[in-house]
Amino acid sequence: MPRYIWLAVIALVLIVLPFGLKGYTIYILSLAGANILSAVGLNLLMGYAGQVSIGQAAFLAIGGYTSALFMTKLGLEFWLAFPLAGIITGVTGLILFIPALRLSAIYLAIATLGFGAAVQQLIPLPYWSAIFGGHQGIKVPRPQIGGFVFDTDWELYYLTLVVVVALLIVSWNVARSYIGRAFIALRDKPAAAEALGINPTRYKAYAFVLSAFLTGIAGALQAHLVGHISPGEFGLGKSIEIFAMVILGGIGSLPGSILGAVFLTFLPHWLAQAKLLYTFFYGAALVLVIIFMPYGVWGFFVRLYYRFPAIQKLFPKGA
Amino acid sequence: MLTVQDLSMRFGGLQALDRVSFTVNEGEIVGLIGPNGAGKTTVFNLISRLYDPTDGRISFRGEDLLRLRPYQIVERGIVRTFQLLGLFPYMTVLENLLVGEHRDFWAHPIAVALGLPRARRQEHDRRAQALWLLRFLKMEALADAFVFALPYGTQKLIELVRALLARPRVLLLDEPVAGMNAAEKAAMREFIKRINHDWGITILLVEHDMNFVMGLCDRIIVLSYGRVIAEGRADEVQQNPEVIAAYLGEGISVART
Ligand SMILES: Nc1ncnc2c1ncn2[C@@H]1O[C@H](COP(=O)(O)OP(=O)(O)OP(=O)(O)O)[C@@H](O)[C@H]1O
Ligand SMILES: [Mg+2]
Repeated sequence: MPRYIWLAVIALVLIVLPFGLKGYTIYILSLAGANILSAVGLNLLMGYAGQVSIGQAAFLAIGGYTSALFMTKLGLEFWLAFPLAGIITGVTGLILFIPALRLSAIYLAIATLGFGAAVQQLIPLPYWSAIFGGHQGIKVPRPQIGGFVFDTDWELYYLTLVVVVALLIVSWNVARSYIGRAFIALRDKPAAAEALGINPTRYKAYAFVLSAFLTGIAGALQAHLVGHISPGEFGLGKSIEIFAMVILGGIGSLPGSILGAVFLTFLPHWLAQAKLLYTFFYGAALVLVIIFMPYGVWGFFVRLYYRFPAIQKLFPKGA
Repeated sequence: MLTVQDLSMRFGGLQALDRVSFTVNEGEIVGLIGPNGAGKTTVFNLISRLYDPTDGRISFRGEDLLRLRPYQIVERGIVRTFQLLGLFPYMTVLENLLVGEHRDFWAHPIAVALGLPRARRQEHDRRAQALWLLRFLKMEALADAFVFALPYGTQKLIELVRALLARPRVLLLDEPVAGMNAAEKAAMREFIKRINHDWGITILLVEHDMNFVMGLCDRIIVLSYGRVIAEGRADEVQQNPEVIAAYLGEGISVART
């Protein structure tokens, strides 16, 4: 099966990758892993289920603070605090889902925007600065399983790799199942979807919970990678960045979200010297993609694939 | 089996339906006809609970349908198609058919997410079922085609196939042969007869093609301006002066068209 050969090649590359790279690059690569989860999480919600959210950074914050505080304040082990961060963020996804039941796309976008702003404003309030650390934020402990502490860049990379691959498989399973089809059906023809027995409330709830869960894990991952967390990381800019990853990669395409996330994670580091240039490229890339690749980078590849038989021979269908 | 009683529907100032009553008995093929804007699609929309009627009752096998939500209707065995197509355009034919089988997917979301064997087996079985039906209809070549790229008539047929996969007791078909040529219409007529006769599915259909309706339906209900103006066998309805005036038109003999 050629598909398995390609997967094996990709796996091998990802495993040996750190051996040829500088520590800092490995670290950025791990951060890209966290962003992949955020982008896939938003794509399932927005691209599949058609529910626009521009407050995803709030879920990152909730996931990050939960994992950190469960370890430092409640003394939980990492392997318990980390998944709980995802689950608790998933539950807050249900809160965001309640307005989604009644609101049309544009008002939902505004509601999620408000949610994102509220969370970012609430965290640094002085009432609970003993817990959340105010604007300065708090230190986040390194992941530790048994006696093993993940404290080098490449140890953290492998931890990230396992988490990201596992959750991509989960996302893929859901997207290709009756649940993923129900998302698309409700997005495109809600009346027809309901007439076939799809309960819109239930499936919108699934989409919000799954999206929040993935983003919560991404937030926890990022917090543990960076070793520190503060509210400044979770502004509107971060939400828009996740949004841009989805649009850039191709809305409704999970491989596209992976590309979009990796690209937009590395871009600012490539252009680190020239802050102005970064903003320029960032904007220019988005505009170009929207004009020339309306289905995102991945959609562009798919079209090339169907246009040129030579590529089809190289990558047989289903690969 | 399906009973509509004094059903009224008002959209703003427009009385789309005015105390419509009729019954569809088990095993029948019933035609619902009438001029444009008579309220035929509105009847379907009310039965499938898209709207709440202004007044009246709808019951199916003794159960009050007005107490159900739209997504619960299919569980009772009522499945509809849409006048302007209810297919999901960015899905393949096979994926559309799998949505038709939605009520047969019961694997828990967690089992789906983790890719547990029972979720995989269910997906596999449902695919096999949909492919079996496609092969039975000699349409297996279309399985992986995207719906939006197919001719209108083919799309209409696929929507009907999808409805069948939802295991209907009653099928509501809104203009099933619109946009089809004569040969396709003839094939569709035979297909609907088989669905009815061999599979025991009751049929209520809306259609403007009078040849099609008269040759297929056991009984016909005529709507005009939201009211039932006639009801009976094809020959009875065709003779009815009110129907001729309102819809069939003076001097247009249906047998000739
Ligand atoms: N959602 C709605 N809002 C307002 N008016 C509506 C709505 N749905 C239908 N109507 C109106 O109700 C009347 C009946 O419409 P309906 O679609 O039931 O007619 P029809 O008999 O199916 O006609 P056709 O043969 O053209 O399909 C029309 O005047 C239509 O404009
Ligand atoms: Mg109509």
